[in-house]
Amino acid sequence: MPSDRWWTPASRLPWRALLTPLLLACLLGMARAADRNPVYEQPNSDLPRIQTAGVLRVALTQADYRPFYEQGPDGLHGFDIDLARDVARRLGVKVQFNRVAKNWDGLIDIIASGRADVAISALSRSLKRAERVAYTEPYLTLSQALLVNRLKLAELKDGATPLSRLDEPSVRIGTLRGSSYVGFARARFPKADVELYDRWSDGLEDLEAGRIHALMFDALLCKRTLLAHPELALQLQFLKSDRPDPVAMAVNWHNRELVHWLNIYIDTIRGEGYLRTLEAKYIGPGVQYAPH
Amino acid sequence: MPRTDRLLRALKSPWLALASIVLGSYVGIAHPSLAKTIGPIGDVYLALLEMFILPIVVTALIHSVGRTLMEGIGGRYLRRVVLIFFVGMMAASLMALAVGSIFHPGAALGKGDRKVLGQAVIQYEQTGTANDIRQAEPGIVGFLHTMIPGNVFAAASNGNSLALVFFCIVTGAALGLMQNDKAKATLRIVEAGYDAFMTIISWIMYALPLGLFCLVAAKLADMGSDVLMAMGAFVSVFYLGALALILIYLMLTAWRTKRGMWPALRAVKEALIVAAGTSSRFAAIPAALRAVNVELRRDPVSSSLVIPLGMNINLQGSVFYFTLAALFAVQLYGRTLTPAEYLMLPIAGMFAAIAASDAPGIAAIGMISIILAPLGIPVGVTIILLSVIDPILDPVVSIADVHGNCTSAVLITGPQEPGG
Repeated sequence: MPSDRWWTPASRLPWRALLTPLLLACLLGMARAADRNPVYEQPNSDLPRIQTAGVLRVALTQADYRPFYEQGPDGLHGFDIDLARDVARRLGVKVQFNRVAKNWDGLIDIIASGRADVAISALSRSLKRAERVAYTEPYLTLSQALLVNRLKLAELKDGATPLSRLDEPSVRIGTLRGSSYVGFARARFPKADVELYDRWSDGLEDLEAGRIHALMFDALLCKRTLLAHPELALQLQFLKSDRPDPVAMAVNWHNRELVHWLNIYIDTIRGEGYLRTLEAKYIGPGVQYAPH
Repeated sequence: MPRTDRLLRALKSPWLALASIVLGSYVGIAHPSLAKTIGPIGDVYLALLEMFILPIVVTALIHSVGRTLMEGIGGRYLRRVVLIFFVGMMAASLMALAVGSIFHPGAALGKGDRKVLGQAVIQYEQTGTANDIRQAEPGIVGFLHTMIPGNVFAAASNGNSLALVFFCIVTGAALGLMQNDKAKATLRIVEAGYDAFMTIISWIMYALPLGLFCLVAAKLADMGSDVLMAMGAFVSVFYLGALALILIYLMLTAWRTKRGMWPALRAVKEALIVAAGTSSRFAAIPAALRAVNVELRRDPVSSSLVIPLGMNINLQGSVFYFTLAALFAVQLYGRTLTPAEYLMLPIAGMFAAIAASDAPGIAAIGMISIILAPLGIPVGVTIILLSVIDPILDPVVSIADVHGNCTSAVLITGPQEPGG
């Protein structure tokens, strides 16, 4: 087309003749862009989907687990609740809590089936669970711990440490059903029997009565149990194990953008000091894992 | 100058020492921060006193063992020493079993008491010191090993007095059996050393009221009164049993020295006050020697054998304490003992007391594991609870140790020969 044609008055342009090549050019350009970077154009990309929906669905277990989450008179509060609300705020969405899961293994089902976006629920990271869901970096590393019946421990034969004394065929170690501690207990005390309880108080009752030697969970719960009932300290001994319990968020394998974003989020709030503020507010000293 | 004399005599008065203990207790309980400030003065005083105790033990033992053997009366004394020491410790242990079985101090804990004690245990175990204690668990072989060290000078500088006692007895026996002028002269020199150290101690005693005041104040400042209340039953039973022991000691002394109970008490009062104020039976050795040799007029050669030896192995107060504490732990955990286990308690208590005699501070309390471990009773809680209330038990244990030892000396030795 000769260039002087551009200077002709608009009213005299042949509209139909121009429209067809313009449309064609548009379609061609789009097709070529899609060809080069197909992912950019996928409508199901996870982070935009959450932001479009305007809601982050956070899964927690049914039962309260202090100080991570508990139902107070004015709503949920706790370490994980503060964290979930902060995640949602920074994503620019609302938070919606899903409390269907009966225990921690149930949370994994919920995440794996996509019924929630992320589990922020004092969830321990383990290899077995990582087969089914994607984990972020740990935002907290507690110590594995035990409450040991002193009388039962004294009856056991001598060993180098109390921990090695508990790894014997006659020893019974209790923990909560559907928690990562079922695996942790079997891995740390392969010779001992592992007993499962639905409720911590049931396990505690058996421990006091000497029906089991020890009750295993994270250092936080073990320590809080003693502090709430100091009279138990005459019978029960708080014992830190030598292994860590990494607490992390779990996300469906398909939500890769979200995992990536959450990892950067955890790194950021660690740098900003917000994680430390939360630790000081809810966790307190003496329960985090310190490598030897 | 008579005025200075009066002042000096007043400084050595046991009543002044007693008053400073009472005043120190008041300051320790009512003004703990002040008590902690003056605590180091008490520590320095105790160090000064203890500096001369070891030389006194060495010279007294070598001299008395040597003289006894030289005069050919060794065998007779040896049998009596072994018999009286053993019977005395068994009797003290039986006293603990009696009061412990009658009053059940460990079973009497209410829920509130258990809460307070549990809190003390939690607090203690957080600091991690509890884990260090449990390592101090020597068996019978380990016990023999501490008694026979490879290097006696290392043992002496580590405060392993049991080893030193063993060394001195053997050395004294060798000198005594030599029966010649050289040995006699050596023993005279050792005796002169002993006299010199005793003189130094008598100078140090002028500062006793000040030292006791600071020591007692600092000691009581550390104690939690709520734990004391919760352990009230145990503490009461302990005091009751200790009082009964002291009454028996007074009766035996009175009967053996043919005097009244009151004069028998007056004779040992200085030794008992030093023991109570310093919580150290070793610090009371000079005063105990004076009590038996001068006040009660027993034969000085044999009593200066019995007292330093007894302060190491004739620990009736400690045996009483360990047996009662073990019984407390048994009751705390709701165990019932078989008759055989009951019979074992006094023997194990004796070993625990002797093993504890060399262990410093809290490790001494840890020796209760010698009794409890064979019974399968956890030691951690018992050690923690005992160490929390130690400041008010320790002085009484020391009093009973020193008084039991003075009484043993009175029973073993004969009266002083006229003019001797």
